[in-house]
Amino acid sequence: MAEMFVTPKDRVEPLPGLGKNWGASLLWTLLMVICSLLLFSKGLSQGSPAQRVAAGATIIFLTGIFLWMMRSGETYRPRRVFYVALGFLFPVGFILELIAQRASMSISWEQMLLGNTPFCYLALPMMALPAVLSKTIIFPGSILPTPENHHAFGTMLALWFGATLILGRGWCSWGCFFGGIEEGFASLRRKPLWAKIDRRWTLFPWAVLSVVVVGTAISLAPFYCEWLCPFKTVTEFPAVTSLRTAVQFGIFTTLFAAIVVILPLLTKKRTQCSFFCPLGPIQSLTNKINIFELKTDPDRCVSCGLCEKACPFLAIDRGEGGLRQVNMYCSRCAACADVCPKGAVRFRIKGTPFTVNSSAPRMMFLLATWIFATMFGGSIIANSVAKILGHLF
Amino acid sequence: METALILGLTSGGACLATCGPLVAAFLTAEQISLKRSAALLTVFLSGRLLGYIGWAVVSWLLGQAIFQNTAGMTIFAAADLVLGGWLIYYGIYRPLGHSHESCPASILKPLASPAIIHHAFFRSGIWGILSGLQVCPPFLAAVTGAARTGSLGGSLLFFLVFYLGTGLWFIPFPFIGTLGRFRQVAQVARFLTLPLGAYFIYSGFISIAGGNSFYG
Repeated sequence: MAEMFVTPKDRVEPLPGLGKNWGASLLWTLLMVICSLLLFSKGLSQGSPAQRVAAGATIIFLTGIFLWMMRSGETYRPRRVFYVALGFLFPVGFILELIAQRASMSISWEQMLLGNTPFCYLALPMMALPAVLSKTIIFPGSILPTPENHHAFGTMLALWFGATLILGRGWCSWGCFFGGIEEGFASLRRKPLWAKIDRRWTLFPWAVLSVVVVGTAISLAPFYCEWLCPFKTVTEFPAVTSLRTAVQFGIFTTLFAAIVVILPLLTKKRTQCSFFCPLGPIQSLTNKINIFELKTDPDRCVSCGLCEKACPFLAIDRGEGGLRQVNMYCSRCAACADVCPKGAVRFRIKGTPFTVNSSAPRMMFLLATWIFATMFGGSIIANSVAKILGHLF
Repeated sequence: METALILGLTSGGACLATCGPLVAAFLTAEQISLKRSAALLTVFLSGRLLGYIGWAVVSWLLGQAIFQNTAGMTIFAAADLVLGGWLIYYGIYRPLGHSHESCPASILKPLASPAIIHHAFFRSGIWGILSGLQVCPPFLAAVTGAARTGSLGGSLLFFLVFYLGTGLWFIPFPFIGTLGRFRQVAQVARFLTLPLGAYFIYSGFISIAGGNSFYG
């Protein structure tokens, strides 16, 4: 990735970081440390030794990432370190929990019907229509949290909705732990082996969403979870007991290998998120109601195309005269802003004019986003690390 | 009938992507009011229904001729596999229609040209029948599904549900002028044939392997 990003000496406009102003960087970081301490206070004070070590390590990790963002002005690379860690640690923690509970990653229909399956936000788009038609939540879990299952439909809906108000599609780059796995694979190669991607595939998630919504409404079963979710491979899947479940397992694993591992590795793009995930279109629409955006200043853009190459979502369009414009699929990962040598792509609050070297919108976005990331992603990281430590020692 | 509805809803998008330009060209050939446009579309869809009924009868006859023994069932399962592959190819590689020429029914265009049939309503009805009789992958998929029902009533019902599913996609056509993103919608619609193709491949595979049904 390094050669794709502009080095400081090539940059005409500096990144909107605090640079040598250590005082300001530390002050902002201190604010985040206080937030982290408050959020992890229970783990630090009442947890097992493994939980205490994990909470402490997570606070140090999150603090380091935030300080990096503050000082350097970079957003994409520090975020990627956090996000890839989240993406890889979540399934490890989840699998260890499953192994501890029932010594297997597979789940029987009887166990699913007991409602002990954690609700996944990827299932949100398909729940609406059956909920209206049948007045029930068809996902085999509980609507409200129970002592056995905190990750119920209501919890996840509230969490997702709150995060969406702050982040828009930023959820896909700062919150969704599944995306971290493919981002990890996408960042392994320095250059893409396959650079020419047909842009019409960015419309495919709309087709998946349509099929999932209709399929779920007709079958009154979580169609996506049953047939299409690639992440079943690294979480929980129906026990293979028939030809049908064998086919389902084959679909999950093939999709996982193809669009979460191989294609990101070849293209350096987030192929599952960009070309398949049914939540993606809904998240893209939430960009319309979110106050933050990444936008190109037409007076500064020199049409070099670096932002287009760097964008992992194919969310940069070519406008008139080669001018690049960020489209609705933007996930606010800020790869475009970091790579732009002229500082033309930048965070903005909608409706405000471009102002020279203004770092305020970025700072506001980062503060809001990082509090959420600490709360959601940070707690997942701490949980997973605690489980790994508990398993090892 | 779930299959017919899924098939209709998903392949209706492909119909829209393929034959939409034909219907749009035909509805916007002259400056007409929304009311007249809706009336012409109604006649078109009625004609299309007649075409579907024709296919339902053909499917029933085909089912009677072939679908009576194990060998016949294997033939249908193999047809599902081939159709599934064809639908996927159709969704990925066949370009979107830039004009009404992309619709298979357009080869019969001379039969219903304004030079031969002067009355617009009569012409739209003929167009509807022709577009309902065309041979394209989603239609052939519907034929295999209807033939499996084993009775004329079942076959008619299958095509009626299939028709309702596909017909939903044509409702926005009177407002076509306001649909600025037609091309994107048409592309999404075309992509819908991919999961549909995957479903047919699955269905064929399960039939040949002797497994359980899709929702069984």
